[in-house]
Amino acid sequence: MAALSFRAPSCRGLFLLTFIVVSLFRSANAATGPSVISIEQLAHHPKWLRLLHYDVDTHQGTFLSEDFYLSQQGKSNPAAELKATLDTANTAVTTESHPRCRFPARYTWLADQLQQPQWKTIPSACRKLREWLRENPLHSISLLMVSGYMGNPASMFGHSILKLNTSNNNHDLFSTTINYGALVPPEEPIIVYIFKGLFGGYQAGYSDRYFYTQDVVYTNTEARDIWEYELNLKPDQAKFLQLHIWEIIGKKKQYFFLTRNCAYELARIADVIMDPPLSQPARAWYVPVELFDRLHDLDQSASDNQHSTLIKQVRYHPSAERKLIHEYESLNAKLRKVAKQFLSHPQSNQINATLAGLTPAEQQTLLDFLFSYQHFIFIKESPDPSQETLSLKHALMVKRLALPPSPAEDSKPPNRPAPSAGQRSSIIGAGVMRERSGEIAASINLTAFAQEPTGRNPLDGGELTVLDLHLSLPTGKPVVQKIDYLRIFHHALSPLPMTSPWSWRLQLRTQREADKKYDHQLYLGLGRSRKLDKALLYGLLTPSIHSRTPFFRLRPEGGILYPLRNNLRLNLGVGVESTAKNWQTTPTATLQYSPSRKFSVLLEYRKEVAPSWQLTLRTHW
Amino acid sequence: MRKILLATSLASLFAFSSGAQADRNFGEIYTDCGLGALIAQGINDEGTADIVAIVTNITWDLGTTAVSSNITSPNSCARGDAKTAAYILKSYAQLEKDLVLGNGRYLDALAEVTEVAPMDRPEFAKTIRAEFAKQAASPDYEMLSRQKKAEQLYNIVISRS
Repeated sequence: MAALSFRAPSCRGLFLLTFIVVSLFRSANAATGPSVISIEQLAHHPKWLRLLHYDVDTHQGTFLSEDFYLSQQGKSNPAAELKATLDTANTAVTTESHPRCRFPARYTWLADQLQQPQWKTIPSACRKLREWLRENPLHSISLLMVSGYMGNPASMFGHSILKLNTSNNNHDLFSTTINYGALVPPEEPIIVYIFKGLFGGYQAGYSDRYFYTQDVVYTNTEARDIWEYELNLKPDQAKFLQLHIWEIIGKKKQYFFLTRNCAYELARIADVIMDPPLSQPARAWYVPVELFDRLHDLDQSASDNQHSTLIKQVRYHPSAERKLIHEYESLNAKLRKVAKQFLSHPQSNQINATLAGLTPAEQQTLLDFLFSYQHFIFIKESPDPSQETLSLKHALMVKRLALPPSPAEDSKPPNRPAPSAGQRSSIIGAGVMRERSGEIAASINLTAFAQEPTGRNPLDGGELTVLDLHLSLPTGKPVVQKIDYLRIFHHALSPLPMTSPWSWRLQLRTQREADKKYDHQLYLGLGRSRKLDKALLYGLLTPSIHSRTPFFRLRPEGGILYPLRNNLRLNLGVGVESTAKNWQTTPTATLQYSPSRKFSVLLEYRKEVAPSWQLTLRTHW
Repeated sequence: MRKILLATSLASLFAFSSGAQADRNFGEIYTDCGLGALIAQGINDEGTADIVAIVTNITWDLGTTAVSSNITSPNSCARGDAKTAAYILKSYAQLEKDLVLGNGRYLDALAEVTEVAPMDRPEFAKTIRAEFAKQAASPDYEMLSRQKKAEQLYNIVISRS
C-alpha cells in the first residue's frame, strides 16, 4: 500500500513564502526508500517549465491564451501555476472545463513526481478528451520536413509539421498533423504582412488536421518533397506528448517571422519528452531545417553513447512532380517518344491516332502517363485551368476509364537524402585572400543561411544563400569585401515536356571594387540547364543594374558543376560582361571539399578586371 | 438510422443549391467544419473569430491556408459520413486521379474511411470506378464545380457502402 505524506497546501500566502517540503514515500517499492521534493523544486523543474511553455530567457509563459494558465500569476510564476494545478487535482471532475480534462499531461507528470497514480486516469467527465484519444490510437510520432518552395519567397526555407501516426503503414492519410501558423486576416497587404510578421504583429495558433490535407497542399499542389522523421519513442513518451498536444491545440502565442515560427514552436512541443531539449536558445533566426539538424545531432549523440537512438526511420514522400518524372523515365524508349510527340501538340482528337499501333498493354501504360501528366498540369493551373487543359484531361480520362484498372504502384522514385544529411546551414569561415587591389590579407566569412551549389544539399546543384558577408583584414582592421544579401540559382532540370525549361538566378550584392569603392548590384539571369551524366551544365543571359557606371550591364555566362567525389565538388564558370567600352571576360572557379556536415574547405578564384582568390576553412553550424 | 445520418450529413455539406445555404461557398464550409470552430473557440467577437479562422504560416508557408479537421471537437466533420464527405471534398483531385488509374492511396483511404473490410476493398474500388466512369463520361463533367463533382462521388460511395 502506498503511504503518501503529501498534502496539497491549503494556505496560498504561506505557499509561496515557505518551502513546503513534501515527503514522498515510495512504499510500492520499499527498497527505494523515501525521497524528498520541495514544491519550489518541482515548480522550477525543467519539465514543468516546458509544460507551461516558459521562455528560457525571459522566464515568462509564452501563451497569450489566458485560459492556458490556471493561476492569474501562472504566466510569470510557475510555482503559483503549480499550486493552482495541485489545488484542483483532487476536486470532483464533473465538467469538461475541469483542469484534469484540459491539462492531462500536467497531471500525468505530477502523478509521477508526487506518486499519485490516480491522476493519470482520464476522468469519465472528460468526454471530448476520451473521444479524441479513442479516435487517435497512437502508433508513433513523426516530425515532417517539407522542402522549400521556390514558387513563393516566404516558403523558400521549408516548413515543419508534427504527425501523430495512427497506423503503421504508409496509407496514413487520416493521421493527425499538428501545424503552427500565424493568424493572418484575409487580403492582408504583403508589406503589412511582412512587417507584422517580423515584429510580432500576429498571433499564431496550433491547429490539427488530417495528414491528407497536408499531402494535398504540399506534395500535390505545390509539388514539394516531404521527409518524415519517425521518432523512436517509448509508448508512455508518445502518449505523454499526445496529451500535451491536447493541452495546446487552439491556444495562441505571439508570432515572430524569424525566431518563433513553426519549427521552433514544434520543437517546444516535443521538448516535453526530450532530454536534452530539441529546441535551442533562439538566435536571430531559426529556419525549419535547424530543427532536423538538432534532431540528427541528438540521435547521433545517443547512438555514440550507446543509448537508444532518437530517430526510428526517415521516410521520403516524393512530390507529385518527382513521381511524374519517375513515371516518364520508366516508360520504354518507344512509349517515351510517343508521349513526347503527343505532348508537343496535345489535342484530344489525336489520342486515337497516338494509340494506334500500340498493344493494349502499351496503350494502358501510355494513357496512365498521359492522364497523370495532364492531371498534373490541371493541378498547376487550378483554380482556373484553361479550357484546353480541361478538354484534354477529360478526353484522356474517358479513354483511360474504358480500360481496366492498373495494378498497384510497384515503383517509386528513388529516395532523396534528407535535409539533415546535408551540411548545416550557417557558416563561419576564416582564411586568406588576394583582393582585387592586389593585397594579400586574412579573411573572415560569415553566412546566415547557405545551401551552396558546391555543398551537400538537396537543391540539385541550385543555390539558396542569405546574408553572406566576406571581410578582409589587410591592416588588422576589418574591411567589407562583399555582402551577398541574397543568391538564388534554380536549375530547371525536369525532363517532362511542356514544363518550364527556364533556369534562373537572382543576386543582390554589395562589392568592393579595385579602387576600394563600393558597387551595389542586382543580377537577374535566365537560361537553360542540362544534366549530362554527373555534370550539370548551364548557360544564362544575365542583365544587371549597378550603382556605379556603367549602370546597366549584360553578361552571357555559362558553367559546369561537377562532383569529383561525393564530398569534393567543382564549379567552373565564365561570363563576358559588357562594360562602357568593351566586353570583359570573367572566369570563375570554385572547389569545395566537405568532409563532414560541419566542416568544409573552399577555394575560390575570380577575375573581374583584376584577379582575386580566397581560401577559407569553414565550420557549418 | 444510418440513412437518416447520411441524409443529415449530405444536407449539411452539400446544400449548395438549397434555400438558406445556397450562397455558402467552399471556404465557408471548411471554416464551419474546421479550424474556425476550433481556433475561434472562446472568442465572442464574430469579426475576430472570422479572422482567426484563416490560418496561414506566413514565415515559411505563405499561401497554404489551413483548414482543420477539427478533430478535437466532437461536433465536427471528423467522423462518420461527414468525415467521408469532407475527405472527398478536400481531396477530390487526387481521388479522381486514383479512380481513373484504378489504384492509389487516396482510393485506398476512401475504402478505409467508409469502413469497407480489407477483403472487400478491391471490389469496392472496382464498383466505385465503374460508377464514376458513367458520370465522368458526360460531356459536361468538366464544367461542374468541384463541390458538385464531390457530391456526385459522395453519393456513389454512400450508395455502395
